[in-house]
Amino acid sequence: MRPVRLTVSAFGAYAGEMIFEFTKLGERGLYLITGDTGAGKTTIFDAIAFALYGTASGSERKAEMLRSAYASPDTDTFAELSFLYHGSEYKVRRSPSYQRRKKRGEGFTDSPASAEFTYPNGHVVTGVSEVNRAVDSVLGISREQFSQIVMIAQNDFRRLLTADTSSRQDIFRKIFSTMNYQKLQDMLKEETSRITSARNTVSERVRQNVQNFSCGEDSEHAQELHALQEDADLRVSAENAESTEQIVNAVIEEDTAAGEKISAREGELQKEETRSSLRLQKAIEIREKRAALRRNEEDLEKNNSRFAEAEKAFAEASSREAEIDASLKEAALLKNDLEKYQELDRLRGEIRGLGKKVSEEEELLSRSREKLEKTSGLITRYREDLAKYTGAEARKDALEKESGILKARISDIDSALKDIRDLAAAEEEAAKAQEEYISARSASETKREKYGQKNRAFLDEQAGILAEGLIEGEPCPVCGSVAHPHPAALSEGAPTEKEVEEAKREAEAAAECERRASERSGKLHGRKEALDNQVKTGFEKIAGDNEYTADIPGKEEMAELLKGWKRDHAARAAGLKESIKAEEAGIELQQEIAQILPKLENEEQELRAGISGLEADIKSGKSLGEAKKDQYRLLRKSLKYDTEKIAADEAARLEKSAQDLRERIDSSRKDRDAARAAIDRLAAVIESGKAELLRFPEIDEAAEKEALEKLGAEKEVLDGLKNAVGARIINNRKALESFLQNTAELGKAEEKLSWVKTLSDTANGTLSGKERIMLETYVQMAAFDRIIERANLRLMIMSGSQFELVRRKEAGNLRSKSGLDLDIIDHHNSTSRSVSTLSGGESFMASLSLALGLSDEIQAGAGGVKLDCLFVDEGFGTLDDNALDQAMKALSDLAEGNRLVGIISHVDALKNRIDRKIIVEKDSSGISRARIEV
Amino acid sequence: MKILHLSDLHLGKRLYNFSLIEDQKHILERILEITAEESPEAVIIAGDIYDKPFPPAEAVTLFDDFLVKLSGLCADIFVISGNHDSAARIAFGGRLMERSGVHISPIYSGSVNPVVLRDSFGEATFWLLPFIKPGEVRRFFPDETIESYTDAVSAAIKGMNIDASCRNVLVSHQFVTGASISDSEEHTVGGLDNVDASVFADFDYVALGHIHSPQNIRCEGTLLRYCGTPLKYSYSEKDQVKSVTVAELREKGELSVREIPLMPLRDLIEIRGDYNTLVSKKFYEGLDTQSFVHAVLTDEDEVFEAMAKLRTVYPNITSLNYDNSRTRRSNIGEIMTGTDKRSPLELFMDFYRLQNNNEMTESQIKLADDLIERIWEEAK
Repeated sequence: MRPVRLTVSAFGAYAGEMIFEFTKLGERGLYLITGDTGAGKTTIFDAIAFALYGTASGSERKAEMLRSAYASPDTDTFAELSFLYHGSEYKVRRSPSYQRRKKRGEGFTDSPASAEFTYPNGHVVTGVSEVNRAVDSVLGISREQFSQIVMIAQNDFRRLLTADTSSRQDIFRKIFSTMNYQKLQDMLKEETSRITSARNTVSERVRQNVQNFSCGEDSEHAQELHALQEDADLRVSAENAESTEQIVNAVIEEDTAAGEKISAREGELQKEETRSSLRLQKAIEIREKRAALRRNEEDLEKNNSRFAEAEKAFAEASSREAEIDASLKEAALLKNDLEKYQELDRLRGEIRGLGKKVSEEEELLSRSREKLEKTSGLITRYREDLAKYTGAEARKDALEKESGILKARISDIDSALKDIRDLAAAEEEAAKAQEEYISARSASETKREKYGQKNRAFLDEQAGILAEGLIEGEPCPVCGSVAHPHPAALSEGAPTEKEVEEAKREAEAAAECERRASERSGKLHGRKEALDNQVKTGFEKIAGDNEYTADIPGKEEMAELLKGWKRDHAARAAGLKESIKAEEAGIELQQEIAQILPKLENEEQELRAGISGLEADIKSGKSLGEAKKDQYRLLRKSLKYDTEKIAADEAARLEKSAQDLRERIDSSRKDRDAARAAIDRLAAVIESGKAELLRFPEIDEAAEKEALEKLGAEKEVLDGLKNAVGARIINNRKALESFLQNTAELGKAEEKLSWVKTLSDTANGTLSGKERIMLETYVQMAAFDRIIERANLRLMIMSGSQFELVRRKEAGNLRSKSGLDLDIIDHHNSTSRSVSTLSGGESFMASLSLALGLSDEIQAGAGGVKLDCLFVDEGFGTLDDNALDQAMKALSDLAEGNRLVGIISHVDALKNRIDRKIIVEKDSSGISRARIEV
Repeated sequence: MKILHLSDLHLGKRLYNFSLIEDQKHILERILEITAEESPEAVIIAGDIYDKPFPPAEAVTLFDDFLVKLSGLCADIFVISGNHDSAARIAFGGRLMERSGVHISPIYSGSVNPVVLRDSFGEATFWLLPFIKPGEVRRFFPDETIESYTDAVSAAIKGMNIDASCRNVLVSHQFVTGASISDSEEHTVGGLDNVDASVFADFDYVALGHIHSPQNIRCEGTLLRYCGTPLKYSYSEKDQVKSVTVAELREKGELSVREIPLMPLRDLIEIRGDYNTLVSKKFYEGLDTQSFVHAVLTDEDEVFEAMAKLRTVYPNITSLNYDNSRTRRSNIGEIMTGTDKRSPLELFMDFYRLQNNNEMTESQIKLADDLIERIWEEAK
């Protein structure tokens, strides 16, 4: 990657636009960027790093801080770099996000970060992430790598030198793409854990198998077997698989033998059982036969008694035969009369109906009578009231008129009271005005006197004034004399004309005041007089109304009297109001009654009509009822029963009893015959049974039963044992088979696990007792070794053969990752120590060498990444003359290798030795400018 | 006409942080003795008076002293600034020093004012050209293309309008093509700074400075000579004999040069051998142990605290390095181009062997190979 042209605008220290033509610096060799502090040297590197990767060069500057603080708000911030790579020219342009002035309107707006990448064929890609991807893919190195290898930024160079193994691992992983090895490590680890869990499953199964073995409690091998099963840590191996097999086989044999013994015994028992059961059967037979005999004898007894009873019943029944015919005859008679009974029922119903109707009507009648009474009462009362309220209207009118008169009087009194108040006020005012007039007059007099005095004095002074203007020999304006022997003198305190004028004005004003006061006073007095008269006349009138004959009193007394009269009138007016209200109520009622009364009278009339109707109905109903009753009585006499139903029921009953009787006769006869037959039969059976029993032997049934039971129980026990043993055998066989199978599998799994685990542990650096070096690290170590070799070529030159970098071979401890730690060998005293013990200048040389070594290694590897430029920001100040010489030598060697190396430094010695320079200067206004000098 | 020619004094230089001021003082005194003996008509100091553009005070005092004493011994002294000097500071007081016969080159400004001396053979014109770079010369010759050092010097010389019929001596400080260099010269880094010898064709004698080993370069009728440094300034010069040059100019076309050797206060030597040998009395009793020493140790095993221990015998030891089978083993060619050619599986197998002291088994190899194939395929 070779920069061709860099354009920055409002970026870092450059307020305006600045273009750097790198082509002027040639294609290889060293060039120096030098200038004042803060002029903008590192900014050039920042711009290059930013244009490519969107970040500043070191870890200390952030992209947001890149906008120039000196830029005018209208200038956009961007950095654009065109560079050559593998012979083709690319261009990348980026702006950071910053605040700029709005193009339209007031205020500021955020300008977001933007990026643009142009391929050699003109194809353009925009957008920050797209451009990042494009840059990564074209250059082949990431931002991380770039900052480690190509751009050695201020204060950052120590990073690669002093990193520990894990950070170096990450860096190398990115640079040398060793993540595949990392993946391999992970996959091996996964495989190991997979196999481990598979093996654990099989191991579990084996354990299960062992638990499934069983043996009899009294087995010889019980202890061994139990011991085996209790052993929780049973490690399965070929030996104990065999011994387990042996034990189990022994148990199986044992059980098999036991099983056979049981079978033999079972056979014996079986034979005995059969014999015993036969005998038992016989015993039972005998017992049953005896029971049957007894039963038959009992039956015979029963039948005998039955026969006797049946005979008796038959005889009884036959005697009543004649009753049957009589009942049947009566029933027929009843059936004939059924119609008549129906008529009877009907009559009964009618009678009842009539009775009900009459009673209802009677009730209605009484109710109507009640109502009639009430209505008549109301009518009477209303008529009375009506009489009471005549004349109410007239009375009301009279009362209202009186009330009006009272009201008028009250208002008269009110206005008189008001007049009295006005009079009092007017008197006060008049008095005040009089006082004012008096004072105004005295003031006016005083002023007048004062004016008079002043005026006199002034006039008197005229002489003095005139005298002042007198000049001896000049005529006097008054007398014309030219001699002025004794001019008038101005007296002290003589007033000026102005003063006199003023006094006059005051006097006149005071006179005016007096005049006005006098006027006012007169007016008010007049008013007072008028009011006084008014009051007096008013009172006289009222007094007349109220029959007051005494003299006209003073104001206060007058007011009191008036108030008292007003109170009386008011009270009376109130009383009147009440009476009027009462009269008005009466009038209303009157009207109401006039409406209701006719209605009520109508009602009365109706009621009376209804009553008479009802009375007539009742009478007729009663008489009809009587007639019917007679009819009924007659019919009833001719019949036996009350109702049809009773008669019908009776007929049925008679028929039934006849039937029953007949039946009884028949059945008793049948019984008697049956009993006789049974008696004969039973007698025969009993005979034969007795004969049979004589032939059988005696067998003790209970004993036989007991014996049989005992045999049965023993057989059961044996059966159970046999089953148990049989099951155990099967179980053990199965378990053993499965056990052997699983054991074999387990063996295989363990074997596989062991070599896979070794492989995985090796790859992951987890071998016990070994240093924790992972496969990836090993691969990286190899690359690292080569890097160190390359680095040492330069370091030896730079340090005058004193220092050499070396990879630490032994880990400090077996716990943390190791393999990529760096030490430095000092040949002067043959010690090997950590790189952090180097001084500033020494570590700069070491870091520079390392960076160069790293970049060499990257270029040598596959991938075609071409790193033919290098930027070194400061660090040379830490070197002494000697070291500086050596460093220059090392760098020039580099430059010969077709690389373009840019150095930022303010070290003077470098300025002299390096021809091609970019000089950055700040002018007096703080604006930075750069120029290229060759 | 006898001319004493010296250059590259590098006053104030430090060698591996040892101050050489005493050695330089000593050698300047020797030079003054030689001047007194030879009584030359002119003394030329061809550049690199100091080692740095801002030399230390003691260096400036030393040179001041030297010039004063020298001017008492010789009528005309010619001084130019070299690439290590600051031209402006060297030129300080030049116009005043003219009156005392000390001719110092001013900052180059497009032309050179020569100084003419006379002897029995006629006039000899001395031209003083300070160290120049193309960038400095370009602005004075806007019509010319000046890209390289050769172009620059050629243009400058052309601008001098030399009359080649009489004797012309140029004092210059450049790297002429064909000169053999040692470790202590400093080249402008970043480009080729050599000048082709042909541009000096018009001069009879070119008194050069800049290269530290004394040598002649003949170019047709012109003799270009580097007189070398008066002291050894790097170990690559350890075998040289330092000297001052005496050039004798007779009639045009006739000149000869000879060297007068200079013995330093402290020599620069390299000693070689294993540690025990180097500290043995037998070895060092024949040497001047005060010299500046660079030790090459041949021990196979590194000696602990070698530097400190050697310093007890050689107090001015500046550096050491080892030369044994290990250091010889580094094959540069392989380092610079070799990469790890092992396949991932091979790497794994090597690593396994290293960690387990055992080879991977068949089944392990198979598993590893399968996984590797899968992973590497996926990554593509």
